[in-house]
Amino acid sequence: MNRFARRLLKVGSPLCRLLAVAVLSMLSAAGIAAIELAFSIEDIEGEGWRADGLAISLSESTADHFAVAITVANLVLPDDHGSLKGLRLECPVQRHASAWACDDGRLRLEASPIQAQDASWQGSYTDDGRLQITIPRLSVARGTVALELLADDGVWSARVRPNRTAIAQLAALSGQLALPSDWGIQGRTSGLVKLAGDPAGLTSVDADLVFDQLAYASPDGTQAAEKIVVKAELKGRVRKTVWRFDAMLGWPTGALYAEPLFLDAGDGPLTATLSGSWSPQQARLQIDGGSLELAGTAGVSATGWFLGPELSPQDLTIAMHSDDAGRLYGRLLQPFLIGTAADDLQVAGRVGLVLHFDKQGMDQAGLEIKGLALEDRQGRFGLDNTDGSIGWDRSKVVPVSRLAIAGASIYRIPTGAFDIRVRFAADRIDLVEPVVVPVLGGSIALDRFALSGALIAGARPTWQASASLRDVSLEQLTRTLEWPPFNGTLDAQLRELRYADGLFSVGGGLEFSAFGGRIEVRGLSIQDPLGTVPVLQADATMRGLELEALTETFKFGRIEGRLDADMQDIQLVGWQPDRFNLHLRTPPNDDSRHRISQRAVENLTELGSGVPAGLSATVLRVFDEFRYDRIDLRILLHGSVADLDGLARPDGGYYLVKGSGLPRIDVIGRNRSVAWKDLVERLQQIQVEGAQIK
Amino acid sequence: MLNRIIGFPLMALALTACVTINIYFPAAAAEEAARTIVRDVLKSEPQEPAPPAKPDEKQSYTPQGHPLAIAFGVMMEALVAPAQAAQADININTAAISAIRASMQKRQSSLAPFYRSGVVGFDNKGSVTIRDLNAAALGERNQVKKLVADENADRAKLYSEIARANGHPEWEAEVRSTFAKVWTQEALPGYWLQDASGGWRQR
Repeated sequence: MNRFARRLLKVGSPLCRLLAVAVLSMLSAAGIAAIELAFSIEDIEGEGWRADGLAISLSESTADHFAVAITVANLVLPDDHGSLKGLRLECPVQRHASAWACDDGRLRLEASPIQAQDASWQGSYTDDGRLQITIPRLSVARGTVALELLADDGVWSARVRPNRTAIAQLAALSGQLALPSDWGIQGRTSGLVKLAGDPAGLTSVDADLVFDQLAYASPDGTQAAEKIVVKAELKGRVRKTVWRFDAMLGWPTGALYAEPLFLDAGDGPLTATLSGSWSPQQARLQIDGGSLELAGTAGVSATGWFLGPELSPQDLTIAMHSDDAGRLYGRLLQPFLIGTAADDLQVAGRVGLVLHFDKQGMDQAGLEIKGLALEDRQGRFGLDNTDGSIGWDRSKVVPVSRLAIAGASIYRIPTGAFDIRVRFAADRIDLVEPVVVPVLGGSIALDRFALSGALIAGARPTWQASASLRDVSLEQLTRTLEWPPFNGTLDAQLRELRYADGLFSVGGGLEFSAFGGRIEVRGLSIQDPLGTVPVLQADATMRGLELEALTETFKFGRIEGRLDADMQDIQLVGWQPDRFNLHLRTPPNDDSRHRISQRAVENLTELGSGVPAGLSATVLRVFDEFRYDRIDLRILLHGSVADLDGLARPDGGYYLVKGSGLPRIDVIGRNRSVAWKDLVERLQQIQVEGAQIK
Repeated sequence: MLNRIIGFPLMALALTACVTINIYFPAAAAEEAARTIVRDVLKSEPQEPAPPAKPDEKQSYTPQGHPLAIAFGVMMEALVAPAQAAQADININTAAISAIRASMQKRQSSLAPFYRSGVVGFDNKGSVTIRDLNAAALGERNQVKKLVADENADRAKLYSEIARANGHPEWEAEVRSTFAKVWTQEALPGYWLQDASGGWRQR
């Protein structure tokens, strides 16, 4: 082809610059007529695409047979899909009846976004416009894809059969799905996708795909998967611009971590279904039925519809049920509770939950509980067999919620069965009637409980309550806590119980009878009650305690008489004394019998000085007991040091016990300061009748 | 005479110093206390002898010089010693501290494999931190998160409790930074440690 010919055939157009040379020659030899047509275009371009070095050749061997070869040196694809280099399409065309057929075509590509290709293909084109193309095997994304295309008068269908194609490469090829590049995404997909359409566009999709060897790991480790196999089915049909769809997802094997959830299909496979419709014009998604089943753990179903570009729920109902609340807690709830007091529970029972959302968010909730039991593995609290239902409504007053609890425990203190009747409405929870909890032979009655600010995003929850204790057995309480047993009962009015910012506080006071006297505790508060180191603060006053009962309880050696005590500024850290100001004394004008046994004198002396009085080595050993006038002991504990004091004596010492009568015995202290741990050790070493004080 | 003229202001200055020294955080004693606790938790045999306590330092001190200067020095030592002794008295023997130590000790055996595999490291603020969650199996990741949350809660309690038990809640930050240093020093081979600039290295 000469330059003149090129100029001759040049077509000038803004979009298409065509420079072609056609050589037409008719050859005749030995009586065989043959046509050979070669046509080449240097470059041609359209909107978004461009082809360089296009050549088409056609050679006819017989009237029904001719061969076509198309080559393109470089074809730039539209929409940034890359380019095809060294494209060569060959096809021996044959005429069958009313169709042109290519039964043994060849496609070669030296380079393309879906790698180099050397594939066979078949195709046919009938006179009435029906086109069919089949490519049995294309190398795509490290796997293969088989393609079948049918088109007839604008109506078309396609079958795409990926086989072990790499997901990450497929996503990159699509240009639509942006997967994180640094997650090391592995996995492949196989199956069948059937597409159909008409001149207006896509009309149906049927996909049946298996994804296997799926694995990824985000750099921060918060998202990861290993050896996942997922089976997905999707059927979609469009009618009047609205798509109806049915989808199913099965996840039989593999493990997934999506912070904070860890799901191992080996513990129970997951299946999900979703059917509904999607209107792109109205941006409306309708869920006719959705379900998610985590085998052995929980099932969730949902119906409703969403609107707008962000698909905000307009009317959505979600129902969840679990026949194994233990697995529900372990697999789905505990991960969200890490770092709270509820992150180490043992749970059993069945639960069901229904939630409804409207345009403003959640407006109704209902919880059904059967046989729910939970226990803190650190033994701090527990709940026995609990049945009931709870209803909540954002705006309306709902029926009373009821819970029947077979028993509970807090710090090893068990309770009997009790019922709760409560009303949940908007952001409030109110008791319908007092909750009476049988405990330690008596009861705690929760007279009032009001919570507000809960369940509303951004609101600060606060609660207040008042309770009263009636006839709680101190003997049972002290035995449960493994303390020396007290006798008596505990009665208290606990007004203004509050819990905020980790501080539990009690207005009013606990008043109880013990050892024949009255004990009153006021200003009680506990910081971080379920933490490693709870801090308790309180003040206590004791009036008219009978020393005989008290000393008998503590195996201290018998003392008779009455005792008043003021214990101010008590602070227990980790339930151990850290600070207090204690003043024990004989009440003024006490006319009770005042006697102290020899053993008690020995113990008191040893407690104060670290050495026993050694009465048994003196003449006083013949007396079992002595009369005394007053007892007076002050202990000021601050940190690790306890300051001791008593009734002042002119010689600088102080009386712990001031004797009277004959033989008179005084217990006199001289040490003003003692290490608290020494004092505790001495107390622990005091043994009477084989008992040891702890 | 000259000695007396020079000596009194010096002594006054030294006595003033004795008084003011008590308001400072007792760094050496706190470090000792921290080392005791950290070794106890990590159950490590002392890899190297603990830094000698102050009395030992004094015992090893051999005064040299003019006899008057020595006498002054000895006298000052006698005066300063109680102040330093008071300063060095960091109490870690409270019930709360014991409870926290026991809790941390119990957790150590669960945390140790994650320290060694580099999942969790000692950060430069006296806490532990997740440095490479990908090094943990998927099923272990929430366990790691719980261990780290619980350990850090205990450590925070420990630091505030030591400061509080010694009558100076305001020392908490200094207790924490002391511990940060000691955790790093006492970390066992294979543990991962964060330096001041935030970088990680393996011991």
